Amino acid sequence: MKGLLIVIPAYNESESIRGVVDSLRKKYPEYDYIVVNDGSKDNTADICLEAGYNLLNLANNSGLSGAVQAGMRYAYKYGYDAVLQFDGDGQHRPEYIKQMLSVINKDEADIVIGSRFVDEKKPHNMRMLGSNLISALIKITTGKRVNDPTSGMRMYGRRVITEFSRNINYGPEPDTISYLIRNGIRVKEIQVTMDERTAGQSYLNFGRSIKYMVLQCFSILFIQAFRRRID
Amino acid sequence: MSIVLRILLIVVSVFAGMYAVREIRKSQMKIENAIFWFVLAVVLIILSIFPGIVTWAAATIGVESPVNLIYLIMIFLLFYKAFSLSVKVAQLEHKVNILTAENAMADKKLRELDNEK
Repeated sequence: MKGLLIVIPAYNESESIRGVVDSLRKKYPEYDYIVVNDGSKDNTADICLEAGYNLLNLANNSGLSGAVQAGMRYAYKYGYDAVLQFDGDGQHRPEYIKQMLSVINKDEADIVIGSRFVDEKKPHNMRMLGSNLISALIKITTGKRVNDPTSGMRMYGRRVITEFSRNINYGPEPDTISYLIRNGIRVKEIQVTMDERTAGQSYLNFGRSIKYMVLQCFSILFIQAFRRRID
Repeated sequence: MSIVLRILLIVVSVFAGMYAVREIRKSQMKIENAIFWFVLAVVLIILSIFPGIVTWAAATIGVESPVNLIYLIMIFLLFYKAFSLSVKVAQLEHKVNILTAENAMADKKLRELDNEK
């Protein structure tokens, strides 16, 4: 039993990474963590090395899915039982980790989503329209309700870590979730509160958001049905 | 097929074939990949020299102009090539990502060993 590994993918997060990791180390020293620097163009790597953080320094930019996959490989290699995907920009609050981890430890689910909308209502704006659409598509294709499919705060249990560490097309995105639900993976949501990012810019601008939505919807509706699971 | 088109096809095919052979000699290309282009060039040369084959095939299939059949075959072949290349690119990207991750893990281990000294 090696417990939980917090994977913090970081791309150009020089302004916020210190705050995120320092607060984790100070308040939650019982959890192991690893920063995955995804080939940042700024000095994110230097900051981490100087501060002596646990760091996987990717030589190439592998994208979010590549960075998470690197973290999964590390977790698999060193025998961790759970992986938490945790943003490096200060949006996610560590106080929910314990509750999420207890779901994994009690074996009530294989993936736990830190969800903004279990008890809370979704606000009405463009981004939530997209979130609703993805929720609806997942409901149609899997029969399961996922209230916050685009949440980036997710915990993965032992059963899925192996797959995520090895295979192609295991991006930490809603389409992978829908595909895994269809293949018998149990997903549970825990109500969390998220903060505005403390620094830096969101990766998703308007054009990218549209592209992301089209890709996710198309993938959930048409592609995932044809996938065969390699275990 | 007009005589001008036939000559054009032969000239282009000869160049394409020579180019493929040259890349193999310089070891720029894998033999399996070069063979595709080489065979394509040879087939085009044969069809230009004996256009009767194309005329007969076009009439049998019901393509009005024989030259359109040549285009059609080329489009099919290029589709196939583009598709198989996109599969290949995805696999390579996946492999690069895996290697990048493995390299980062080795790099971390080295740093730790350095610190112990």
